[in-house]
Amino acid sequence: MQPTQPIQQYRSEHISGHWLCRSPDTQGGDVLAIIPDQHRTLFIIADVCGNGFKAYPQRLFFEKLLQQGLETCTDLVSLCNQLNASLLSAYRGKSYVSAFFLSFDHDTECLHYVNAGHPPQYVVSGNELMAFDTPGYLLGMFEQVLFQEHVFSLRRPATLVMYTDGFEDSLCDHNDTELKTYLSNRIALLQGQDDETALQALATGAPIFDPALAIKEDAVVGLITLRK
Amino acid sequence: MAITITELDDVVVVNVQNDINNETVDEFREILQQITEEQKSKIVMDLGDVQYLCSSGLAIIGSSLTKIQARRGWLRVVNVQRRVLRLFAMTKLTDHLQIFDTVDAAMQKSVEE
Repeated sequence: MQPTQPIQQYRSEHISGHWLCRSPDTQGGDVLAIIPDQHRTLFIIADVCGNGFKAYPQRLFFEKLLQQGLETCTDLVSLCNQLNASLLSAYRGKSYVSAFFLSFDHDTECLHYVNAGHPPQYVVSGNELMAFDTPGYLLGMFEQVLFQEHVFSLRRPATLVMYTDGFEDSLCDHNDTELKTYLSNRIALLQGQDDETALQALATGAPIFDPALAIKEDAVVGLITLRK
Repeated sequence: MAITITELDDVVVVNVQNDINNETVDEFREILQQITEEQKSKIVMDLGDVQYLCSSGLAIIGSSLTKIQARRGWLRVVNVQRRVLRLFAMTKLTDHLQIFDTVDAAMQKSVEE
């Protein structure tokens, strides 16, 4: 039996999120978190080095560091710097976390993001699928690296398509063009569907979420809709 | 896991002959650890047969690189396949690793230095 956790949900006045996790064990190293703040909402997807039970304690440690970082850091770059230093101190470069941080500012309608060595994430606005594909350094691998924050002006309604590499591994042979084509085709078919149905359909196309198949990797895929 | 190690002058050439995945990563770790503990500082790693590199494998390459650079050495990777190259690019490991097409090209660079 390869457990797929039930769809996890987040809902607020303007944001709804649905995501699926799968691991060879019941808990793995991949995580998607939505964290509301006064003027912003943070969306974080992260993948701890390793998978399954072996990665789970490191994931819990990362989540603790993340919580501490969010209490003291006011921007995403400072948060990444702090996480990088803490992970380096704990693991001395023998383990790392890849993560993608997005922060939606409710006042300015801007989406700020930093990529820390994670696969590209996507946003669907209107009929357009756009990739946030700037590369970035992993958290906890090297000292003195420069994390870069990017800003994107978002037109709502918009949907963030967030996933870890286990999802794209099972869809295509690590080919960005193939992946974008797959997502475009799927998302075009899903217009007008509710997020939960859309997520199920997106995940059904990825063999990693097929409960009948034995898997060895962790994976998360989620859809987050930002409404007006 | 099939890994062959040859020494050409003061350069260690590590030829990895299959994927680095959950089944093979522990052996890959042991071999890299042994090489770095022997204070070798010039390493060429041939990844021509590696179509898949798992996250733990990437961590081993990263930590080996840090150790080798600390003693002013270098780690060069050659014959990197598209999927692995994408991983190096996505994580900006390309800023730290020296990437060459062939073992000869990596060795030639060594002679020039």
